[in-house]
Amino acid sequence: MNGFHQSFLATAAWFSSCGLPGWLGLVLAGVVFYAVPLFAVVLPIAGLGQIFERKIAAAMQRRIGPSTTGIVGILRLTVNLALPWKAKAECNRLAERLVAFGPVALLDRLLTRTGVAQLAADGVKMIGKEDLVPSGVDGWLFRAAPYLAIAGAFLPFVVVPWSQHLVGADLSIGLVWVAAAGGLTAVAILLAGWGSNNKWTMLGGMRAVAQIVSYEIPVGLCMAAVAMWCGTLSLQQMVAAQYHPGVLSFLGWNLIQSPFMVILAGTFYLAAIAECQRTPFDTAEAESELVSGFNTEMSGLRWGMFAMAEYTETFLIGALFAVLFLGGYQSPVGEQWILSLPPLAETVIHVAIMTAKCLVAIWVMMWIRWTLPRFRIDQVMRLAWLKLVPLALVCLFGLALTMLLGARIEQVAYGRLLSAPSAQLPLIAWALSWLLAGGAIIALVVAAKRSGPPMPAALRRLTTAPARKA
Amino acid sequence: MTVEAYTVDGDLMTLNMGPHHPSTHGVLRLVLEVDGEVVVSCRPDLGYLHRSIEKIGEFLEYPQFVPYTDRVDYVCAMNSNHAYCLAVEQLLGSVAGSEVKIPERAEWLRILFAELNRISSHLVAVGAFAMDMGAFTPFLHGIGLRELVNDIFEKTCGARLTYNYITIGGVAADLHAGAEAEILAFCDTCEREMVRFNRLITANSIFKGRLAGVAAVSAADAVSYGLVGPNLRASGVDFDLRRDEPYGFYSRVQFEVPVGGAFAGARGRVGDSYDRFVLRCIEILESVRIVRQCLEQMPKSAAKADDPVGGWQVDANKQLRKPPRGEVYCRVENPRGETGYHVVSDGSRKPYRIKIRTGSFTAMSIFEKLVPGLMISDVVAVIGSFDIVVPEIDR
Amino acid sequence: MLLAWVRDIVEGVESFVVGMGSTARFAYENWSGKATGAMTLEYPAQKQAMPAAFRGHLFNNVSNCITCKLCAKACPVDCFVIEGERNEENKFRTSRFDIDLTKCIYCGLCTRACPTDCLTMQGGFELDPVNTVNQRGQRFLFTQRPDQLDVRLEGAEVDRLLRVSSLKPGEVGAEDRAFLDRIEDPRGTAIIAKFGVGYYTADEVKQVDARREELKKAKEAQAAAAKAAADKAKAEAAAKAAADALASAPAQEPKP
Repeated sequence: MNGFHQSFLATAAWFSSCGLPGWLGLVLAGVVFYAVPLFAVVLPIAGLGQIFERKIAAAMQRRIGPSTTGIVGILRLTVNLALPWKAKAECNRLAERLVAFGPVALLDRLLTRTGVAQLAADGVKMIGKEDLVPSGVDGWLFRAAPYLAIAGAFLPFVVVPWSQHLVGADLSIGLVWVAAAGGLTAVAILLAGWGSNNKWTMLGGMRAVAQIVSYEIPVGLCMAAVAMWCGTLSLQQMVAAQYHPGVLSFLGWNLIQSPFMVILAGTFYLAAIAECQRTPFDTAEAESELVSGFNTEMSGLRWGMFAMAEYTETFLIGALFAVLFLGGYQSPVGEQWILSLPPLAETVIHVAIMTAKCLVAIWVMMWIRWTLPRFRIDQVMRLAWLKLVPLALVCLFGLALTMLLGARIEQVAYGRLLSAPSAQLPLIAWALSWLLAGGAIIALVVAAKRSGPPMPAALRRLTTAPARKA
Repeated sequence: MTVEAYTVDGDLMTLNMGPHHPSTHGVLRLVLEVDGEVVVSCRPDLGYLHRSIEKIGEFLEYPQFVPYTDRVDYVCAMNSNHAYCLAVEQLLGSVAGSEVKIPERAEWLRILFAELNRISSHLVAVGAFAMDMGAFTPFLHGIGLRELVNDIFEKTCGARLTYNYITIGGVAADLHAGAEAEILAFCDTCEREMVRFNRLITANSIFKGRLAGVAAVSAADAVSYGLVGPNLRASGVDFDLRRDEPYGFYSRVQFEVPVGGAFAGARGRVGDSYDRFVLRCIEILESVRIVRQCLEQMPKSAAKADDPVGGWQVDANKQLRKPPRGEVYCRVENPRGETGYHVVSDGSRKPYRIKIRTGSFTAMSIFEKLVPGLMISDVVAVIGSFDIVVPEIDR
Repeated sequence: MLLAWVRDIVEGVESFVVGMGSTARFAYENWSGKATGAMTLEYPAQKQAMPAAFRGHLFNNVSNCITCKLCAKACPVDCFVIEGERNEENKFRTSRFDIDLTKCIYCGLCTRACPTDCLTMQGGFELDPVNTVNQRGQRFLFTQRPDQLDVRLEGAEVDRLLRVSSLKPGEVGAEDRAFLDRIEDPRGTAIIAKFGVGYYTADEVKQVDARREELKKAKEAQAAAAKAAADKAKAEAAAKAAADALASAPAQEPKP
């Protein structure tokens, strides 16, 4: 990977030698070496995310989802373009004959039933739409907003590690960069809301900014807690800190280090969903309240950019969640073995694992989206300030306490009881933290449940199955 | 938060919610004055779906108006049919000699289908309400159940939405073959699926939190604003025409009339949006009970071989009958509450005047009082919880 | 207070888990093809079987129609135009029975009023002017208003219209253009937007054609006979004028 960076620098130098200013050469080389591959990987995945979301939603809603678009149209287009001297009807017949051919037919069926081909149709439709700028909009803001949204979604990917060697830039302040660059989305949505000259968009924009700014606090606290636990802000090192030798490498993951980590993971996940404006926190878009919120006036590719930004952000959340809690790109079992492979093989395996973890996180996000109703904006804020921030703080302190006690235990043990490092000792500390903290949390939950009023009889009747008649 | 507790700061923004708004359920327009997210005043504006149905009635013969009652409230066309036909039958019965004799089986079929339609109407109401609250999945499950009702209707009366089934003097057709088994199977499915529906949305704490205490209507307000049906009962007023003024064969079936009781728990209040929602869910189950009883008690075949279903339209020669002079007001319990048909006859073949009283219209009149002080998202909740059907408002 | 705070969170998590569980079950049942699975019908490919009682397009079996016009009286929207006439055998029959499907509200009152049950509502619900031959081989007549029903299309003309309608605007030739202009609504609405108002089955079209042919032949024969008779009369008149005495000879009038 060092070689990759070297060639990037060499290309930048080459651009400069062609007479371009130095900074422009760097930017161009950066686009070629980093931005294009990133887009090439993330954009299709984000697009596929959209299709999978539609399929998942359909499955939960007794529907089929995208099921008709195949490759016949694409083949027709290709044949027509490839054989311009032939009549259109003849080309079409040829394309249809092609589709009837076994493997092509199989591919067509696969693409049709999974709805993947729909992605191409949607994309073409989106690009082909009229670029509509309503009268009275603030032209600059209206036009700039989609680009900012895309930028805000992609910039954090710079620091996301995909393998030991594949990372855009392993900044020592990685997490801070993620939080800062992600904040660009708030600006984009505000610009779109304000610049569209529409009352609904403005309401949506205002809601979004209030919400995103509020939810940066719990997200930041969660990140801080994990950073404290791992002792680093660099994402690459954070992954390395979760390395556990041996077959069961998932034992090193942050998620199972302490019950506080589990709560923290939930808090982070919720807050991150809220930050990227997805149900149940999609108050800014809220199609049943604000028509379509901040992107009411956006059409065609502008809307497409916002949609792409949204799906890219879900992908980012998946990646961050994986890095913070699920050991990043590490395999749940046999990580030691993968690390001993040659760099290329290691990279391929790790990228696949990372993508799988992201996809699972995205999938859960979609699952949530099609399950829950939407919060009201004041409830969204209340949830952030009264529930998530305190929870994150409690977990932060809990983790700090755990670390402190762990260190104390080690100190005591090595000072008085043991003379040599022991493999059992971390395990004992780990079990102790689970027992103590977990016990306290469970006790609290049980006490809280007992203190509550019973369920109203009407609700109990509605939610329990009717007695079977004999 | 009430509007008294909230002091308006700075300029207000006028916001047109509707007529083209995703959750005004058609083309209702609410002119909102908002201060940020908080609504300061709300003025409903109607007339976007006015089709002059009452006026058209004056140019049609009595039986010809039945298809128009389908279109007054197309979510529960059966119940509208029932109300109008009962009104005309009362009119005919006001003078000895011109009464219509309705076969017993037809009477059972009437309330059987009215209750099935109540189920499907409430399914739309609760499903669409969930969708307004941002949960799309429950809506499609509600609609999915409703499809089963529509299938039954389609097989018996030939249409899925505008049934024109209940006629003056009877019903249009007997049950199709195998209908009893189908309806019983639907009852089981409905009860089973409603449990899942309720676990998915009704018991959801976000949903509860959105609705608890929002737009609570006191019993006194509910009565003085003329709320009817589930909206009235949610406020704690125990009044149901099916039980208190039984029409048709409703006196022969057992059912409970649920009333609101702050179901949302600590934050809930009697008559809030959540109560209205839960009440509709309970009424679905009660209607299933009535449907089962209808099927049990209904004569298994037609009592008289010559006329199994009765009805004015069935016999072409009776078409020229004229009701006596007079007027009648007949009210029935629709899914959206009391629906009244005031029919005035001048003795000719066409009514002199038909006036329709609908539940949605009065429910909408309370918006002006309820909405100020709520947030924009709550306006959606209010519209949905009152189960507004816009064609019923405008007629 | 702490307990209430915890309870809020616990209740939220609980109902979240219950909700997620139920959607997961829905998805599982959909994918595994249970009864509560997908209820989508991929329409043009899969078609729903309509029940026998379905109130679709109106169809009048004219051979049984007695032109009592009870259907027109029952109709709340006046969508019928019915005319009767006496045929050659002095029998009353329906000469025109047109239903304006743009007005029809499919309420079924007319079919309930029909004493001979010749007016029925058929199972079809598709009204695609391009593909107008339905399952029963019936064809629509193309017009928009009853007063334009003189523009009747039968047999080859319907085929021609179907062919021309499926062409793209650039592909319509001058001859076809003239044909379309002739049958088109004078207000210039595209022919494709028009709805049919009435049916003839393919058999009925054949019968009508055969009957017309028969009538035509009969008419020709009559004309020929009349001409022959006239010639004969002329000749006879000439003979009469010439003879001036044969007044009692009866003129043989051919019976019509």
